[in-house]
Amino acid sequence: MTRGLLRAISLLVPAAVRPRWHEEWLAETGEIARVRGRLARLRAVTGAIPDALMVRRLARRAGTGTHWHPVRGTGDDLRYAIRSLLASPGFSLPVAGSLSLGIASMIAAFTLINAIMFRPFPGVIGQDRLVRIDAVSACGAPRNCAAIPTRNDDYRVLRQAMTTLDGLAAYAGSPVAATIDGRAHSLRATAVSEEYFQVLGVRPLIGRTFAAAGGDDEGVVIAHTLWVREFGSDPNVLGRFVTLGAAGSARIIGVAPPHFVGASKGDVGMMGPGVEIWMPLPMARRAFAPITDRDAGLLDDAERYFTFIGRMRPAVTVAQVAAQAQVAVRTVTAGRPNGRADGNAEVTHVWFNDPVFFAATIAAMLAVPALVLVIACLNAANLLVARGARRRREMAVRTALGATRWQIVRQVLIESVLLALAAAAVSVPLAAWTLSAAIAFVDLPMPIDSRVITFACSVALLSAIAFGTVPAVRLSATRPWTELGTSHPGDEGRGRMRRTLVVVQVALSLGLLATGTQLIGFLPAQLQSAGTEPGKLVMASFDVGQVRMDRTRGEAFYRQLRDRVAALPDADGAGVARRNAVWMFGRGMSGSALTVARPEDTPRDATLAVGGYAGGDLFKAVGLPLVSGRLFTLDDEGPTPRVAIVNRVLAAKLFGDAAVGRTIRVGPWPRTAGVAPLEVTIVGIVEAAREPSYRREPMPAAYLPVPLEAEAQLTVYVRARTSSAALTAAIRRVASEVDQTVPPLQISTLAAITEQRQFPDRLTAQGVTVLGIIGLLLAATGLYAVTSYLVSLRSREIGVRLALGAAPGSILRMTLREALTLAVIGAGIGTIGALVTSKVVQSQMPGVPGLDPLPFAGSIVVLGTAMLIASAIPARRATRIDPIAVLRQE
Amino acid sequence: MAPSNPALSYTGLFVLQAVAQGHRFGFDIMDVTGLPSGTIYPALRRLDAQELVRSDWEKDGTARKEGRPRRRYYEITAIGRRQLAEAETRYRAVGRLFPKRSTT
Repeated sequence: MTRGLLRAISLLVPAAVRPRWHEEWLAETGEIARVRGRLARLRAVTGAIPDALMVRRLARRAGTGTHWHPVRGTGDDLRYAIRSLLASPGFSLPVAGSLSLGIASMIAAFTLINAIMFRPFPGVIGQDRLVRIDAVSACGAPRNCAAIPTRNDDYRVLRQAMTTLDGLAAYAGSPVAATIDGRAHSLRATAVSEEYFQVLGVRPLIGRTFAAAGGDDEGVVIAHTLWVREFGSDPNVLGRFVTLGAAGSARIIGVAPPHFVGASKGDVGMMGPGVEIWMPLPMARRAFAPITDRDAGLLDDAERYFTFIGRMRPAVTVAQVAAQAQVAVRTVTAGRPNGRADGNAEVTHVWFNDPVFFAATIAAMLAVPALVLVIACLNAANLLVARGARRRREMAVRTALGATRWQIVRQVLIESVLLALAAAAVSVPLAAWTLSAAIAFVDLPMPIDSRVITFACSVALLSAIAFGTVPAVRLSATRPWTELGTSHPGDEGRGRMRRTLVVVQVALSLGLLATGTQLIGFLPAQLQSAGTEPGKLVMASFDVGQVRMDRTRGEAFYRQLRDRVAALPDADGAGVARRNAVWMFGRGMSGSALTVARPEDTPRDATLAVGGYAGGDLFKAVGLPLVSGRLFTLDDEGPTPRVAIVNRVLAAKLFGDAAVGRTIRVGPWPRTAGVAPLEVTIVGIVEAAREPSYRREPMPAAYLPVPLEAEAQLTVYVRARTSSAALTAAIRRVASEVDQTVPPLQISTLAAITEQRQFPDRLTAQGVTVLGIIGLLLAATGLYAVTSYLVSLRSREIGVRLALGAAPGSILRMTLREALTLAVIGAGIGTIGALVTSKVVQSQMPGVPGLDPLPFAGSIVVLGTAMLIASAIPARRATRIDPIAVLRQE
Repeated sequence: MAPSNPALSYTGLFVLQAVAQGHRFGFDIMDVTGLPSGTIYPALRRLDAQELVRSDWEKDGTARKEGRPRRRYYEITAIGRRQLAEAETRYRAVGRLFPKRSTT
C-alpha cells in the first residue's frame, strides 16, 4: 500500500528526478517502519505530497532561471521555431497551405459580413456618433412597430428640441420620374432637409449642397454614378436641368462625392441600389409619387415617412437621445389623427445592418467556412502529431536536460502559431482575390480593413491553439528514460488518434460536398417555372404615379401601351398585370395581393392570393395553360370586375375541383380605404406558375379583367417571337411614344430577373461546393501524410516481413487495405452526416430536393480515388524497403 | 548559481541546525526536531536548492547487502554554515528586541 501511494505521488515529481525521489522515500519509509512501525510509516508517507510539490516547484525554477516565468525565453523559442520550420518545408508547407485555405474561406466570409454589417456607409464621416430617429406607432415590441408619417417641417421642431444633438436632418426616399435630355428615367431619389449633407459630413465633389439657411432651394444634387452615366462626367454639369415628374425643371447645383449613395440600408449596395439624386423637401411634394397610408388613405403631399438623422454631441449617449426624442416626437404629433398622436421615437445607431440583430445570420454565414477551417485544423493537427512522433527523441533530450513540460508545450505552440500566422498572411490576398469575383454582384466596397485583419489574426491564433494544443501536450508527456533507450518508438495509441482525425476529416468534407451538390442540383430546376421560355418572356414595368397621372389617364396609358406592344411584329402575345401577379420573386406579398373568400366565409377566413388585374393576353404571354372554363373576353371589361380566373391552387383550396361558375368575394390586401370587396364569378381555371425560389409550392392566385383599384405600377408581359433583345428595344421606343414622361422602372427578361434573384442562392451553393472540394483536398492531403507516416513507422515490421519472404504485393495490399478502411469508415459516417444535413437544409429551404444519390455517390468515388492515390504512393515506397538496411538499424 | 540572499524560515533554520549537528537523513531529522515528514522534506529540498546543504547517496553495495533501497544523506555546506551563523545572530537579536517592542 505504501509503495502504491508513493508511486502515485511520484507522478507529481518531474520525470527527470522521479526515480531518485522515489528511491529516497522508499529508503526513508522503510527505516521509519522498521523503527516506529507501519502506522508511523503511513503518517510519514502523507508528507510525500508537499515534498513532491516542492520538488516540482523547485525544478521549474531551475529550468528557467532563479524565478520560473511563463514567457521567459520565448525569444529563443521563436528563433528556434523559425529555424526548425524552415528546415522542414515538407512539413511546414502542407500545414500552412491547408490552413491558409481554411482561414481564407473564413476571411472571405467575414469580409463580406464586415462590408454589409460593420462598415460605415461609404462617404459618411464619424458614423459612430450618428443616430437615426424613426417615428413609430406604439406597439410594444421594438423593431416591429409601423412607421408613422410626419410632416415636411416637423424636423425644425425636433432640431430645436433635441439639445443632445449637434445638427439634425430629415429625409425620405422615393423613385421619381426624371427626364434628362428627352429620355425618361426612374431615378432613386431622396428628399432631404437642408442640413442633411452637413450632418453626414459629406462634401460635394463639384458645386455645393443645399443652403443651410433657407428651405427654398430649387436645385438638386446628383450622385456620382448618375453624373458618370447620364452626363458623361461633364465638369460643366452645374446649371443644367432635369425634369422631375410633376415638379418640373430643377437645376443641378452639385455632384456628390464618389461612393456616397445615402445613409439608409435600402440605399446601398446589396440591400438595394444607391440614391441617384437628392432634392430639397419642398420640391419633393410635387416630384414624389403620392403615397397611401393603411389607416389614413392617400396622404397629404407634405406628409411622408421621414427618417431623422442627427449627430450626437460629445459625451451624449443613445439613451439620452432616445429620452429626448420621445418627448420631441410626442410634441410634434400631438393632436394628429389616425393613432399618430401617441407615437414613439425609435432611436438607433446608424448601422448598415445591426450586428446584434443579425447575429444569427452572421453565425450562419460563418458556419460553412468554419467547417472547412475545422477540417484544415484537423489536417494540421494530424501532420503535427506525425511530426511530433518523429521529434520525440528531441523532446526527450530536452526534458532530460531539464526542460519543463510547459517549455515543451510552449515550443510546439509557438511553432503552431507561426504556421497559422504564415497561413493567415497568405490567405488575406487569397480571400481578396476570391471576393473580387463576387464584387461585381454585391456592388459594395469590401475592403480588407483593420477589422478584417484583426479577425484574420484572431482566427489564426485560435486555430493554432486548436490544432497545436493536443499534439503539444502529447509530445510534452514524453518520458526520457523510455524514449532514449530504444531506437523505435512503438506507440499504437497515437496511431489510433491520427486515424480518428482522418476519419473525421473524410466525414466532414464528404458532408460538405454532398450539401453543395444538393444545393447546386436544385438551381437549374428553378428556371422551368412556366410555359414560356424564361429567356423569351420580356417584362416591362412602369409607374404612372411618378408623373401623378390620375386613374383614368393611367388606365388609358397602359391600355394603349399594351395594344401597341401586342401589335409589334416581334411580340407573340402581350398582357398587363402587376409586377408580382405571376411570380413574387421573393419580394413577398406586401402591398399588392388580394383577399379571396367564398360568399359564406367571414372576412377572417379569407385566403391571401397573388394576381389582381390581368389585362390582354397575359396567360398566353407567360405560358400558363387554361385548365377549364374560358379566358377573359372584351365583354368582361367594364367599370368594375364581374368575373375572375383563378389558378388551380386557389380553385382546389376553395372548391375542390368544380370551381367554374362559383362566386368569390375579392378585396384588396392590405385593405385600401374606399375599396370594398366585390363578388365575382369564376369563369376559368389556369395552371399555377411555379415560383423561382425555394418555396416550390405555387401560390394561390386570382385574376380580374379590370383593376379593382387604381394601379399606378403595372408590368407589360410580352412573349418574344425571336429575339428578346430586339423586343426590349422596341418596347422602350413604343413606351416613350405613348407618353414620353412615364419612365420604365425595369425592362428585363424573366431569365435575367430569376438569375438576379437566384444570385445569393447560387453563391451559397457554389460556395459550399467549392468549400467541400477544398475539404476533400485537405482530407486527401491528411490521409497522405498519415499513411506515409504510419508506413514509415512500420518500416521495421515490413522489413522483417520482407526478410521472411513476404511478397511485395501482399505488403502493398496490406497498406492499401488499411487506408481504405479509414476511407470506408469516414465515408460511412459522412453519409449519415450528409443525410442528416440534407434534412436540415430541406427544413430550412422548402423545395430543395433531398440528397441526390447520384452526385453523392460521385463524391464518394472522388473521395475514394483521392484516398487511393494518397495511400498508393507511400505503400509503393514501403515495398521498396531494403530489409537488410532496416534490420541493421537494430 | 549562488542564492543572492535567501530568507531562511524558522523550519529551514531548524532543519539546517539538525543537519549541522550531524543528523544526516530525513527520518533522523524528523526524530530530533519533532516536525512531521511533510515539513522536513520540503525544507530539505529548499535548502538543497539554495545550496545550504548537499546530498549524497549511500554506497550501492551497503544497501544491497541489507536488501533495502539506498539512503540519501545530507550534509551542511560552507555557505550553509555561514547562513546558519547569520541566522542564529538574527534570531537572537529579534528575541532581544521583542520584549521592548511589545511594550510600545
